[in-house]
Amino acid sequence: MTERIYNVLFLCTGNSARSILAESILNLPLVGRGKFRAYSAGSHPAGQVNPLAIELLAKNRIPTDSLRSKNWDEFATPGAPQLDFVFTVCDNAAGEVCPVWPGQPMTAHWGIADPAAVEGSEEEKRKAFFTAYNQLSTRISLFSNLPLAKLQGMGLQQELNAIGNLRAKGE
Amino acid sequence: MAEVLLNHDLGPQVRALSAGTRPQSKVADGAIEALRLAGLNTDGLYPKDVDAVMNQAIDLVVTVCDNAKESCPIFPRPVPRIHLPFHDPHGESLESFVRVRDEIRATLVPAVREELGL
Repeated sequence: MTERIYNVLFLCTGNSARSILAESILNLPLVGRGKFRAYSAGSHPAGQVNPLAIELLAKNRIPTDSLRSKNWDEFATPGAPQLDFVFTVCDNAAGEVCPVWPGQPMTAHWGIADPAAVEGSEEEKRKAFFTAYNQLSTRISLFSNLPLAKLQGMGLQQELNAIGNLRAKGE
Repeated sequence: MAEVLLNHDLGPQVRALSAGTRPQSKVADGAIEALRLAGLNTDGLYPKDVDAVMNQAIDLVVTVCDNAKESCPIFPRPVPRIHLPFHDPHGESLESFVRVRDEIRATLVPAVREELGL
């Protein structure tokens, strides 16, 4: 099998925090290793990227220039990248309604708590963003090191679901 | 971090050890915390000199030092070697250790899997 680049969309409602962090992490050269091109979108985009997400990425020397909060319908247009994987990162455990992506890509739900919903001091908010970053980074690095060329169909779906179940396992 | 990640992700087929040419007196707090935050066990980790692992039956040596900034050790036995440089997060924030932790997981684990034909 020839090496190919997989297009990955991270989807949540606002596209301002979690999905933005996820896109940025998978696009890191040593995480995606040129095997993946990551995108993000929201079903009800906030219109701007959360400043604490930008702050956390910038502090960690991760590029933020091309990040923007955008509607998922951008990925349903004829010229849009053909998606291989769609991961929802919203928190339906907390009553958030997760968008459902129709069609062919492999999908999985990797729900994590919304750091932008945390109320409290700046310190508490930053801590919530770090928690989300750590959880997304753990999931994405596990995803990136899956032997995709060997895994197919059900086996791959099970691996993707297992990554989403880290939370239920007491993370 | 590479030792723990390899043992977790590729064990028991792979047994990983780690060593340094100038071992510190203790494992960096940020490394312990970053591993713990990924649900990984950090019991029994300690810095050791390359001499301490010299008599082990080693099939592959992975150097992870960033040779743009430091001189990388040469293992004094003819063992297959791969070089995968990572940023040294020593003295930096926990975010920095988390980033390197997951770069190691995404890059080094599949490279070792491939190199050992697993």
